[in-house]
Amino acid sequence: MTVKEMTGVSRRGFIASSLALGAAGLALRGHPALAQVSTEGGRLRARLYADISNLDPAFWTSGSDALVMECIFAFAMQFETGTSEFNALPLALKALNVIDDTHIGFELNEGILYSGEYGEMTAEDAKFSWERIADPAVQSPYAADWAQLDHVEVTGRYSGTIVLKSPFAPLFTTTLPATSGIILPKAAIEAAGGQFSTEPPVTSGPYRIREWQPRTRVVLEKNPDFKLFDVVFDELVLIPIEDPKTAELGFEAGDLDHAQTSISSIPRFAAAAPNGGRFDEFTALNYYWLGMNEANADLTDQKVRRAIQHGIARDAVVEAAYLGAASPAAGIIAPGLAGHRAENTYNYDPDLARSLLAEAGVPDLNVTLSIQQTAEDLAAAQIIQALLADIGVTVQIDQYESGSFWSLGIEADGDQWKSLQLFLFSFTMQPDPSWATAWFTSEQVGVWNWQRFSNEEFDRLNQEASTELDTEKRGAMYIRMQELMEESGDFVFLTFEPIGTLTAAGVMPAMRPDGWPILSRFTKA
Amino acid sequence: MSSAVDPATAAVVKKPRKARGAMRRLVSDPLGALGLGLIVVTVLAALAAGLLPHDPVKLNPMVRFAAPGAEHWLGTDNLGRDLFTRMLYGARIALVISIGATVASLLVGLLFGVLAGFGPRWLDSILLLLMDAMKSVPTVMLALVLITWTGPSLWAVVLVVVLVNGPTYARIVRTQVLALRNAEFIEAERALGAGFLRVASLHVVPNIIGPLLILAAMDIPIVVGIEAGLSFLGLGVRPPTPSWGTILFDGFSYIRDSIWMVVAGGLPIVITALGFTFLGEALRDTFDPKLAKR
Repeated sequence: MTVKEMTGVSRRGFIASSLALGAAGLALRGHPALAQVSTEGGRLRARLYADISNLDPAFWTSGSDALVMECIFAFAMQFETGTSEFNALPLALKALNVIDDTHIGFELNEGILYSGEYGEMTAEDAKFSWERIADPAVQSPYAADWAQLDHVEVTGRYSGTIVLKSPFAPLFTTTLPATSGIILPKAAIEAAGGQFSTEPPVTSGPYRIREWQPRTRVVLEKNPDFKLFDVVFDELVLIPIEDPKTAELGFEAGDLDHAQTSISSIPRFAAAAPNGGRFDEFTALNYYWLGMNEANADLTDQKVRRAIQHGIARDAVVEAAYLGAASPAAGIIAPGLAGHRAENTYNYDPDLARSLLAEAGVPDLNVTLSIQQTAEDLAAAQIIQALLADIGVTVQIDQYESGSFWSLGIEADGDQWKSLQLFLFSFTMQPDPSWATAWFTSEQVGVWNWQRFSNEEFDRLNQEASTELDTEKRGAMYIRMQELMEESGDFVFLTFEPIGTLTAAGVMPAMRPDGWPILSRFTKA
Repeated sequence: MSSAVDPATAAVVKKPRKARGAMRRLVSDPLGALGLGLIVVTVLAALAAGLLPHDPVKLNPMVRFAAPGAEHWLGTDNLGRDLFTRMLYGARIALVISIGATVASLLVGLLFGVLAGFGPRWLDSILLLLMDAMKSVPTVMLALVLITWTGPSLWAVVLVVVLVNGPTYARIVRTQVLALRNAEFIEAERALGAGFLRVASLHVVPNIIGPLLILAAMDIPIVVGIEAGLSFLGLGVRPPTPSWGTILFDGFSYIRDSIWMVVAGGLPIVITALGFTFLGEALRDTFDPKLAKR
């Protein structure tokens, strides 16, 4: 596009379009029936918070990937929707039988068909898929989900036994009901060269991919061979919209039937949902924190990192970013889960921060703070910038679109991890504390552990906690692990992000207790 | 001496009187006067920003989303910063980048255009290929690649503008140079032993700069738009530096809480764009009477 062409669009076109959009927006405010129109013909349009990047159960990268995977693969188990407690029910699995702490028998439903020429789902496929993720040679970042897997014994075409090295608490909460429980045929994976990314060689779920336009939309169509539950909508149109505020506008304009809102908008939508739709608020498991890359030359001194911790008033950051809709957190394990931590081991103390910096011999520190291009991150980052300026730390804010941001600390994606310093991060998780801590082990350095935090006690506790079946003992272990994270200076825990969702009139959402939508189970109201 | 008949020199001699006449025509044209007035307002606003009592980056979340009033003339943003002050400081960024980047593009265009027009055929072909290649790259894609590579900054925005606009100017200059290179007065200069630099700087550039300046004036709003657009996308100036684009992004994000951020980010862009567009069109009418009749 030339500059001249751009002129026409950007000046007159922009003004005209804005006026038209504004007028349309005003008109739509009084048109509650509009959202219902979109569901006619069985199409449901929902927001993805980022484009898909990898749909391989062993290598997926974002919540958007997981959301799509839940539509195109038959999960071994799936969380019940519409309840306040997490309750995983068998899906591809017909039954589970706990023989003892380390032997779990399973039986698959018969007649689950794969796409293409791959036939029916069998216990051999389960053995291949689960052992594949656990196999160190595969180098799956999700190997921890099967950390205690010894092997899978196949006892029949549809039955087998999961043999564990030691008891494994997360098996029924975050392994089988999540992506690591997905069963795929060996032949398909081998035909794809051992792994795949955005073009699955095979699917088995309620939907299959009809079209993917990168950064534009993913269109899924109903899989007629799927019989495990009734699927209502013929088509799912998933639109990647990074900024939740944009998604809100999209919903209000009638372009989306379901969207997660920004946290700062929760109070407004809780008061009145737009277009006659419904608003739901959930206690999320997502945790949000500021990380510091301790391998970066400017941050190797623990005193510097602790100074930054003491220089940040977490309540001010959370208040500015979420406009009162969230509270400061003292850790990464959400309320209600074993290991939730109510208090920090340090306070906001700018004087102490200055003296720590002076002790470290860096009175004038310059650092970068990498964030995603969202209103919340930007507001939080500017508060952090101002607070750290007060202790003599100059912060430069670098904004990234999600694709670039999510590779900043990954060693396999290049050397940019070396220059990464401070970053605002949030992780989604499954309802087991092991999912919160698994990403901060030494093995995860350069994968998801961008802080490059490495602590032997933490690694040991992480291992032990996953095999501890006593909830109280397990909780104490996770609390100690969060203390170790905090003492390293690498983390400033900020908040657990509450989740708000908007759903159009005429659509009945199917939501997990943490606000995670199971789109394939959405129905018409 | 032959220079006595050199029309370019004669043009230079007559310039002050011509320029005064042109300025008079420009100001007497209502569109030109309005454009000039809007630009003067923008420039004065940028200059006056430092006189305001509020700090454009000082946060005060206790008064976030304040409505316009005696203390905050345009209200405050989501972090409690005074919007009027940020709007005026944003004018500084917009003007510095738009004028600076346009001048840089013009200079780059002049250099490459003159080289292509005067140089040997092979150089002309290579430069032409480069210019067309640059023009074929979509602006946003070019910006994304460059800024991913260099990181967001004012300089990155300037570089994007130069790479986008420079080839346009270069092509125009080349065409004008090709038309002039065989003109009698140029050949006469060459016959007298004038070198490339002398011919280019004293005889060619003065004869082609007029239309380029008109084009540049009309390009400034585009550059303002590019800067605001990139800043809106987080690829321009870094927070907390006020830019109309970043103010607009805040306004877009919190439009349900307060509309004043959209006003503070959008209104000055409209005013500046109109000002430079009116001025450019009036300049064109002034210097090209044929077009004025259309």
